[in-house]
Amino acid sequence: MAKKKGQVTTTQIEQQFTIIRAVLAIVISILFCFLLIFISSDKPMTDIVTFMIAPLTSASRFAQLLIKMSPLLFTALAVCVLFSANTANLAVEGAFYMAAFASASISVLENFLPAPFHFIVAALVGCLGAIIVLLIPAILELKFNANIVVCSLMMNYILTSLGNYLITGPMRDQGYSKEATKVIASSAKLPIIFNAGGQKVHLGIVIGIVCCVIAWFIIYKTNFGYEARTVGQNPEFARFSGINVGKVIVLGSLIAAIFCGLGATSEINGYYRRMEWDNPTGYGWDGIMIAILAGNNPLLVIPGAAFLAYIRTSADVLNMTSNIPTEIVNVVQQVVIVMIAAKGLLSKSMNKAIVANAKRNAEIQAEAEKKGEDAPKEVQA
Amino acid sequence: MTLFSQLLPLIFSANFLSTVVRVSTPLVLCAMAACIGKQCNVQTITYEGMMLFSALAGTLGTSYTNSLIGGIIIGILASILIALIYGYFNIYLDTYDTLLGIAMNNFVNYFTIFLLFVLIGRKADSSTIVSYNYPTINIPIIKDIPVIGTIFSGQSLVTYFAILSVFVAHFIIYKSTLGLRIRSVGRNPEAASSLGIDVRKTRMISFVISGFFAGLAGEFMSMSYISFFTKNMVSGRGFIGIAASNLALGKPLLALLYALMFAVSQVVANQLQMLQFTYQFANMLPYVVTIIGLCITGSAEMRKEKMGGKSKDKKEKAEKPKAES
Repeated sequence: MAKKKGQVTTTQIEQQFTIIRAVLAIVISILFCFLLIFISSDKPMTDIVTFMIAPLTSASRFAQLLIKMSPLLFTALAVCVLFSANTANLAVEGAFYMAAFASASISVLENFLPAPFHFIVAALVGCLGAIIVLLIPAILELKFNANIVVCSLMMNYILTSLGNYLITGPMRDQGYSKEATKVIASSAKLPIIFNAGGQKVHLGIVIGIVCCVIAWFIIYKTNFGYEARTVGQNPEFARFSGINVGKVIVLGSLIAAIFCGLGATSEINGYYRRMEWDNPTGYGWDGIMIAILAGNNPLLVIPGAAFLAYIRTSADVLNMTSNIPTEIVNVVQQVVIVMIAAKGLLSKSMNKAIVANAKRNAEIQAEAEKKGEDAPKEVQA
Repeated sequence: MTLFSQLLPLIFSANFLSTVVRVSTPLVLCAMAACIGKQCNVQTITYEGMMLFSALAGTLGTSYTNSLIGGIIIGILASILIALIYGYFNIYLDTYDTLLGIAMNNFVNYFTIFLLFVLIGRKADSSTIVSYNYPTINIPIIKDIPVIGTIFSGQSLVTYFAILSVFVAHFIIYKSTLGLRIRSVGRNPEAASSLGIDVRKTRMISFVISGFFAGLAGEFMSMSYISFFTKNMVSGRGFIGIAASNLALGKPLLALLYALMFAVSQVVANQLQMLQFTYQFANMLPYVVTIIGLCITGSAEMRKEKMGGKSKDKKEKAEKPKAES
């Protein structure tokens, strides 16, 4: 069993290529971004430099990066859990949006509960909202075999209308000029960690990072996580080995919903004065991109979210200093998804590397046998 | 109840049916695109993106080429381009279709806003530039027949294309050699390949045909339904088209019926808005109907599998211990 030095397994090569592909995807998408800047800008070189380094040029911009990163962590975790169990539930977007409404309905109550408990109760109600949203497509798929992709997309449209109704109707603060709820009670607010030039970084990012560790534990160290990954990799095998696929999907949706609820509550109660989203935020889609970039590994979600928040901040700065619209980042994001999801990319060279490696392993084994040593009995395929 | 009694006379009128025909145009065209995809087993949620891109390209095309025909061609080519990119990544680079579909849809969504801003300096719509629209056609004899004239005459040219497209799709799928290839690739790619059919090429061709239909649907949105492009204007019509073709199991003539059904729900939603019914709830109607439709087809498919799949199940179960040991 003892593995010799210098011997590499196929899994290791596959992992290496996953990393190479992620790096390649980021490089290609950034080059694409440069191309777009060249098309749209009248001073491309300065704009590209701004795009590359803007978030690091001042403390307030760096704080902005951290603020932008916080909600991304939560939605990415939700998507990680769903995708690990091979559930193509795309309602994370709607769930995050609804959770914000559900939790805001509690957060706006004055003199409701003392400080930490008010936030906790609001977050729980937020989770409940998200649970309802995420469970509907999952249950429709399980009970009626309805295509979960289209169902969850339809859910997003329905929830957009519902949210618009809530914020213009029952939940609107009539005494305020814009469409928004009442002011979030101070007892429900998340504490501010530090304030850099008016950019207040709230506790949400810390909660998010803690959640990443928890999600990593859930996916890689618990029974549920093992079952979910089995379902994700091979549903047929999972079914035959006695795993209750329905239970895994429902449980996965529940956990994902909890991340959505917590994320939406921390975002609203940390950053905003009132809940004022009259449209879904797009964080759900961002979560998909980050989860793909991180290969569904919750710990890699942290750098993934940092990357997206970095280019978002850059784009915001660019938006102020030049005539480049912020949508450039959303365009580039999709390129990242496509590049990473393209399994055929580099597959030829990966297969070559695997074959070459197998040959080398065989040679090493043969040599070892010649010498009469204990040949490594098993070289993992 | 009063709402209902107000709604009824609106529904049983020639104007209502005429609106249904108009509203159904993009749904029918997209359903045809989805039918071709379904028959070839390469259905994609990117019809939405194809439609949106052709909507923008068509409008800008008429404006830049200064001719209607030029715009129409550019719009359709734009849609086919999206179809080809999707096809290349899906078929040749083996990309997981749901992810690719979402990414392409979002890409088009934001890229159209980006282009709009770069080219004409606005993010919301293209109403400031001069663009041409599809003409409306009055059919000579039919227009004088009382009810039928109101319904079928005076519609946009694309609407007649949509009616035509149903027969074209039916012809392609069931009467042409290409359709035979498409269906055989859809049923069983290995068998098709063994008969010398180039599976990848056939799939790409079906993407191109889908792209053509979706392109027309998109142009209807920005060159007929409204006279300019607004951001995210397709708003789920692509998905509704997919639902229609899935309900019809990929049969164009049936898909037409389901597309009309979705169009009715959309027009009823519009009418409800006019009757002071909370418009957000009225807006939900087409999407709710779509979900219900998906549940009905889904459970029907499941039942079929249960009926026909029992013997197969046993076989697999018998083989299971072998695989484990």
